[in-house]
Amino acid sequence: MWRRPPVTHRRGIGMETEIAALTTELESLKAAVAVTNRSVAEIFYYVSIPLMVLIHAGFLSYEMGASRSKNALASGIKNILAFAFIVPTFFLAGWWIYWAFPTGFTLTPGAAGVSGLEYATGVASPLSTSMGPNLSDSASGVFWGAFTMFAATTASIMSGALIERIQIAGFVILAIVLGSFVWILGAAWGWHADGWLVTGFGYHDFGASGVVHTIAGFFTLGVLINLGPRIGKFRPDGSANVIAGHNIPMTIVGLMLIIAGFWGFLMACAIYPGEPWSWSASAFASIYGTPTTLSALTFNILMGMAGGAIAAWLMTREPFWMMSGALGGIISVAAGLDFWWPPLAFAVGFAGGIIMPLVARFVEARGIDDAVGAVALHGAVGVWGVLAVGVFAVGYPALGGTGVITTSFFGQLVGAGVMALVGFIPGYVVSLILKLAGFLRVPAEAERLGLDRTKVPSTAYPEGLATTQPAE
Amino acid sequence: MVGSPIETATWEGATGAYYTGLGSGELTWVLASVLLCVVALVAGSRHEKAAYRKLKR
Repeated sequence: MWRRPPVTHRRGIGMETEIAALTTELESLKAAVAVTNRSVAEIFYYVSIPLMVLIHAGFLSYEMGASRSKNALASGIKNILAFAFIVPTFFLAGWWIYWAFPTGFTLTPGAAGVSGLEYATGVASPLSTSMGPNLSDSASGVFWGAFTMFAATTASIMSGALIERIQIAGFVILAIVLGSFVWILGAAWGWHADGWLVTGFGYHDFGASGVVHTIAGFFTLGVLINLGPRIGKFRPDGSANVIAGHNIPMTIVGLMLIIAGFWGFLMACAIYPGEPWSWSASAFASIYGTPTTLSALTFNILMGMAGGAIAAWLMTREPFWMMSGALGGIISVAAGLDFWWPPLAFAVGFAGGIIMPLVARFVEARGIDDAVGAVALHGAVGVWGVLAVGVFAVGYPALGGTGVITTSFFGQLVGAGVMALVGFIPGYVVSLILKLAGFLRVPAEAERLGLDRTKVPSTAYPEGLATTQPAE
Repeated sequence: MVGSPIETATWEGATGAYYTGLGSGELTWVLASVLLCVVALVAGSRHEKAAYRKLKR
């Protein structure tokens, strides 16, 4: 005869069943959350890449517009090739350099355990299984892609300064040296949690004022010294002529595209939370493992940009320099982008907008023909951005964890000096070798005729440029 | 050096790297990439030098 079980017993079975069901459901939810987080992290960096391609669309437009019409397409070719050659060479060498050299040339691992010969060879060698389609690794490709865009940005920074007189082959070699070897060595030292500038000096450069802009600007300066000015740039008495580009509106829109792309650049400087490779389970972090938020970046990108544009307007009244000033404002605040009180970011950006045209005039007065002001905008303003952290943001922990080294003026000064030298020395030496080998400068006849007619099989304006009379 | 590393006719249970030529073709294609870059650069430079010579004539 069936007997009803005691109530307590029935309740116990019910609870056990419910607990088992809830446990299963919890595991399922945790797995779903993990999939969502991993997917969003992957998309976060994936999206930063087309945003950064806007930087290169901008540089392309800017550089072609800043050229005279006889050189417009040759300038475009140069810019496209810099981008194209950086991609495979950064795959082959640059990514490995970043992970191999943070502690210096010893190839030893640092305290964070994510550097050195063995680590770099495991995750970033061009022969590594992480460097291709891999169902167990959804991060390496998007990280490499973002860094490749950073690398291409350094080469594009140089590209505009050299327009209208550099040979393509020499330029491509310089672009590869800068984009796939030089800047990434500086990044290993100062933009990596095991970087010796970070662990030894507390160097802080969140958005790469130094490791991208200073290095690229000073590399460009080294090249310009050997390349020499365009024919007609300087009068016999040493005073400078203005060589106007053929399409200033195209140049200005290009600069705005670069600024749009910088949102991708700077978002990719943040480390997404909650992944095995993340610094934090709960919050965005800098590349050094220090906490930050995308809101912090947003405040300061916009305020710095505005400060730089307004200051450049005051200094020049000229739209090309105003847009360069907007970019200079962002570069000024980039190193401390995660720290600034926004009105201070406005002031730091404003100072960058003042520094830029002054340095551009100084460079020109030395007989150096920097066609787009890259040395001033990226080199000098990059240094300012790094030093500004040492002036206004001293005392922040430079790494995650406790008892770590803090930011200081001395640390930033050392970092700025290292970045300037890491850029200038190879830029000068490699361009000097190219000059001696006959691969740097185009012949004078080609420069006078125009590079498009000399070596480009198509014409920028086959029906000529329209000339209009002003409206009555 | 090429082809699928997945030996069963299903994606079930597939994990890790699955690119073409896994474990056998990496170095070959790395070297081929280097060679293509060098060839492109040399050919581009020769074309450029030829254009300058033509202009001087």
